[in-house]
Parts: sequence; structure tokens; C-alpha cells
Amino acid sequence: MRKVRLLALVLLLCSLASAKGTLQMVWFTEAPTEQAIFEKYVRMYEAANPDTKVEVTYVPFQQLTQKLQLMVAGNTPPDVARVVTANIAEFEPVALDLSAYVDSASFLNQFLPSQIPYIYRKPRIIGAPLDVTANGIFYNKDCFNEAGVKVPTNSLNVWTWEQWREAMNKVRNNSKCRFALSYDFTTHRFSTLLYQAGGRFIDDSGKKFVVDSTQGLRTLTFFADLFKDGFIPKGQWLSNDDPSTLFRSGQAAMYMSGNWNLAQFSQIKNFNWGVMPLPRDKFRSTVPGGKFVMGFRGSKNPEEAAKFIQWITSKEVNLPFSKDNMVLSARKDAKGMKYGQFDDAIAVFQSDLSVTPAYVGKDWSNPAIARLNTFIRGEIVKVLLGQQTPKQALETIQAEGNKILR
Amino acid sequence: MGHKLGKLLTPYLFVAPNTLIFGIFVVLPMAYGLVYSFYRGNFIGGLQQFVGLGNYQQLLQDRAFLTSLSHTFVYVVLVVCLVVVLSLALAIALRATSLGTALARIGFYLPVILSPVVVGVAWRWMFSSDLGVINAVLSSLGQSPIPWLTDINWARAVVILASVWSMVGFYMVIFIGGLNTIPAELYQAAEVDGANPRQQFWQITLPLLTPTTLMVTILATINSFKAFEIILVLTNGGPGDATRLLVQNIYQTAFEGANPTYASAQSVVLFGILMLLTLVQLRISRED
Repeated sequence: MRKVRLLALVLLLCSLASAKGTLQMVWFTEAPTEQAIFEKYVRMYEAANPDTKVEVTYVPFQQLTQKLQLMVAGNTPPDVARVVTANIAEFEPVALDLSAYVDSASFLNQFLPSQIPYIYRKPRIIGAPLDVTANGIFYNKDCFNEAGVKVPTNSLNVWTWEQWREAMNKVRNNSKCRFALSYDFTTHRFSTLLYQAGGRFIDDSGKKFVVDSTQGLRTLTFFADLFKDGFIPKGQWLSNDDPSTLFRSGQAAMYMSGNWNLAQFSQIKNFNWGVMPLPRDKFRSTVPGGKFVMGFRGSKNPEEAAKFIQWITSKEVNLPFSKDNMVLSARKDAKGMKYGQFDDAIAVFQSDLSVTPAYVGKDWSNPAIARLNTFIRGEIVKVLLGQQTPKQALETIQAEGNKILR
Repeated sequence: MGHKLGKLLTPYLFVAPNTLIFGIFVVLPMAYGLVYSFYRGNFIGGLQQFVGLGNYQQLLQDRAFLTSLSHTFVYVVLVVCLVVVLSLALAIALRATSLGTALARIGFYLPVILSPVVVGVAWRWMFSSDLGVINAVLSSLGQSPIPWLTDINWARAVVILASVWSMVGFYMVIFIGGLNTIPAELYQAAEVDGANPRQQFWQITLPLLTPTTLMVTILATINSFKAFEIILVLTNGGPGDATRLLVQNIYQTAFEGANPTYASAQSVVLFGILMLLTLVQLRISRED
């Protein structure tokens, strides 16, 4: 009899232990430092919420979309996921509506206006911004010094595309850097040039593709010439060579990527590097983006998910979290936040963000772009291979885009 | 009665675990795939609209699908020819048992036990146009680098070589097994009759190896149709879509294009091709 009672007690304790809510998360990481930093905040959340246990599945960025697609398709979505702009557009139909848990106006009012189009589908709030990202150019200071090329130091004297190209030529020919420019193999990074030229993918109505324009043509021709003239190594867009590696190994003088690299570039010891303002064509522009947290309809703990999302984006948590990761917080009250040794670099990204036209964010919050991302990249590659002209590529992208928007 | 029933059921019980696993992990997903292929839908909204053969009709005009299918056929023919010839040559060369041949066999078999991802990474490390070891050596010798992975033809050649390298050891072992079944007396008699090694190969080895060669050809064909990981890591199907084969196209349609039902239709086509090959193999082995 005693044994039975003991067994019952053990079972009771077990059931009590399992009553503790478990918050399932999918968290993607890009820099090796991110996981350890997030773990610290997970422990803080658990300490503040003793009834909640957080279980995090870390995935590399490349596997994030597939992971979420399969979880959603299998009706086992995570409670919370860290996502990028393209994901939040794609998973909008199954996003947890945060407006049921927060006061919408005051919740949205915490964040920078540029991030609102991504998360607010009136009256639904489909996520919350963790940080703001901006595309930008990292450069190898040693190679630029060796070549005697001075980079623009402020927003008033940024290079035109032609000056930028001239600088590429000089630095490649007169320094130990073998290549002038590493360029991320993404439509997103390519589009930086499109917006600078005054072009865009989708018009104001959000229902028509307009990339087949003189500005689009100028952009794609300029971009293809950078490969043809050997400024960007072909392997990065034709055979998936990692652009970051070429820059980090000191072989590329510049790297077109974005502010999220700051944390991992802080580990570079073999050369000095900095961030330069993006060049201009008709306009100055970067591409604002961001990392977001979102919950999913049909997950096991929606209430707890909403609570965590509010916690991680709150002032008390998000500001130190952004600082630890060296990223730009998406909160309005983060203005003027200091990052120590990276203040100069961050000021450059912020300056580029401040002059970016509003429609750029609107373009990238349209789900059609998320769906066409890979297709657009493929059409650009065909231009680089000489299989079609820039004009043909733009026509194809526009036709395919309009098909999706219809 | 009970004893009889038990006796009747025993063989089924023995195969039950395997049948169950095969059913859950192979038959069921296949059935799902077939059903999906008749619908339009996505990961988020699920199956949305029954379109009958609509997806299959679309395939006939889908340039990406048709290109990847034709790439796959060319890849399979070249890889299978090279695999059969090279593995047979290796088997003949390493047929004798000595320490040297044993070590060489291990060497050639090693790539078979490597993960395809490792093979892809290693070949990429060697052949990358900008960061690869081979181009670095060429440059240090004053030669101009070769666009191994950025030129369409070179990239196809590298992909085929990497695939052959990763498979050849496995088929070499099968050929060695086949060679060992040929009675030595036949060669001795041929030698007495004055046949030279070339004549012995064409008149004795090759005809008696026919069943093995057929098996190797069909196995290599089926495996080549399923090629995916090595190419994904090595070229990601590039440059452009020059090395994108059917399986990668299916994968990209499903996950990057978020179109799992259309990808299912492509999978069913691939399944049909593989099924046909398997039937041919069964037919041939039955005739033997």
C-alpha cells in the first residue's frame, strides 16, 4: 500500500512539473555570437516567469523559412519565432494577432514608423519589430589607405555611382585586396541600387509591378557591368561563393551587406575596417528591413507567446538586447543609444536610413516580393551569364510579378 | 486450431515491423504526394482547390521543369557511362589480392562512406573560382585561373566528376564480386589457346559480367536520377540553372517558391521514371 501511495505521489509531482507551461520557439541565428546572447535573455525571462519553461530550437538563417513552412503545414507551429521581413509577409495569414493582447495604439506607438507597415495589417498586429536593419557597405581601411583612396566621411559628400566605380578601380589596382567589392547574393541587396536610381518594384497602389523602367534598366546594366569588369567576383552570384568570407579574409576591399554583420566583424583582427555611406545615383537610399518576433495561430501557448513578445520588445529588455547584439533597436526611445566602439559605423547606417524614401519599406512588405525573391535573383543571374539582356530580365520579372499580384 | 493459426500468422508477424515502417515513412508520404499533385495549395492555407491534372499540364510548359529534366537526362547518361567504365576498370586493376590493391580499394571506396555534403564542400574548396585551392596553385604558377564553377561547361564537368568520384568505389566492389565468380579455368584455357589479355577481356570477362554490368547500370541510373546534395553544396544548381537537376527543382519549387502541390506533381513524374527503371531491372534480373 505504501508503495502505491509513493507511486501516486511521484506521479502527482510529475504532473505538476509538466503543468509548467513550455514556450516553444524557433530562433534563427546569423552570427555565432547571437545564440549565447539570446540564451542569456531566455534565462532572464524564465527567472521572471517561474511557471514558464522556454524551449528554443536554433536554426541557421538559410533553414528558417523551410522549418517554419513545415511546422505550419504540419499544424505544429512554434509559439514564437524570430523572422525577417520576407517571412512576416509570407506567414501573415497564420500570424497570432497581438491586438487581442495589447492596446494596439500604445503598442505600435513604441516602434519606429518605418517598421509599422511590416507588422500592422489593420486591425491586426502580426508581430513586433526586434531591430531595424539597413543595407550598407563595409570597407577594408588598410586597402583604401594603401591605394590612397579617401572614402566619404559624411552624408554631404557621398560618392555618385561613377565615383564609386572609380574608387573600386583604384583600390583593386593599387592595394593588396584582389577584389573591389563583395556583394551579397540576394535580391534585397541588389534592390539598394534600384532605389538609388529612383526605381522600385511595385507602384503606390501595391497592385502593379513597375520595375521595367529606365531606372530599372540603368540599375541592372550598372550592376552587370560590375561583374563584367571584374569588380565583383563572379563566383558570388554564379556559384554561391560566400561574399562575407572574401571580405573577412581581407581579399575584398568592400562588402555590400548590412548592419547585422557588426557583431561578427568585431572579431576581425587582421585588418581595420569601417562602414561608408552608400553611394547615390538619383537618390540616396538604403533598404530598411528588420528582424521581428511573431506568434502563430494554433500554437499551444498563444497567451504566453504574446507575453514574451511584449517582454522582448519592451524598453527595459530590447535596448540592452540590441546593444549586446550591436543592432539598431526598432524602438523610438532607442534614439541616441551608444554602442561604444561602433558608434561611428552605426551613425552611417542611421544616416542612410534617414534619407530612404518611404516606398522602399512598402515594396518589401508586399508578400509578392517575398514570393518572387528567388525568381528575381535568377533572372539577374541570366543577365550576368549573358543569356538575356537587362531589358528582357526586367520584362520577365515585371510579367511574373503582375501575375502574382493579380 | 490455435497452433495452425499461429503458424499461418508467424511469417506476417516477422515482416510486420518492416511493413509498418515502410508504410508510414514511404507509402503514406507517397500517397499524400500523389493526392497533393491534384490540388493547388501552399504550406499555410493547405490544399485549396482541386485542379485534377492541371499541375501536370502546367509542367509541360514549365521551362524551369523541362530544363531541369533535360539536364537530369544528360547528367544521368554521362555519369552512368563514366561510372560503369571506371568502376569496371578499377575492379579489373584491383582484382588481385595484395596489400597494395587492398589499400587502393579502401582509397577508392572511401568517398562512398563520406556524407554527400562533405564531398560537396571538399570539391567546392578545391574548385571555387575565387577561393579554390586549384586556382590558387594555378595563379602561383603564373597561369590564369579557370572559371571552374562560374562557367556553364566547366561547372557541369566538375559536378559530373564529383558525382562519379563519390560513386565509383561502390560499383567497383560490385564488379570485383562479379569478376570473382568467373572461373579461372576459362582464362587458363584461353591462354593455352593463345588469347591475349585484350581478347580475354572482350571474349570472356565482358560477356560473363553482363548481369553485373546491367545491375550496376540500373543502380547507378536510379541513384543519379536522385542526385541532390553534392550539387546543392557544390554549385547550388548554378551558374544560373546550368547544373540544376530535377530533385533540386522540386525542392526549390516546394520551399523557395512555397508551392508544395506543384512540387508534388514533379515528384510524381520523377517517381514514374524511377518506377519504370526499376521494372526494367526486375524484368532483366528475372530473365537472367
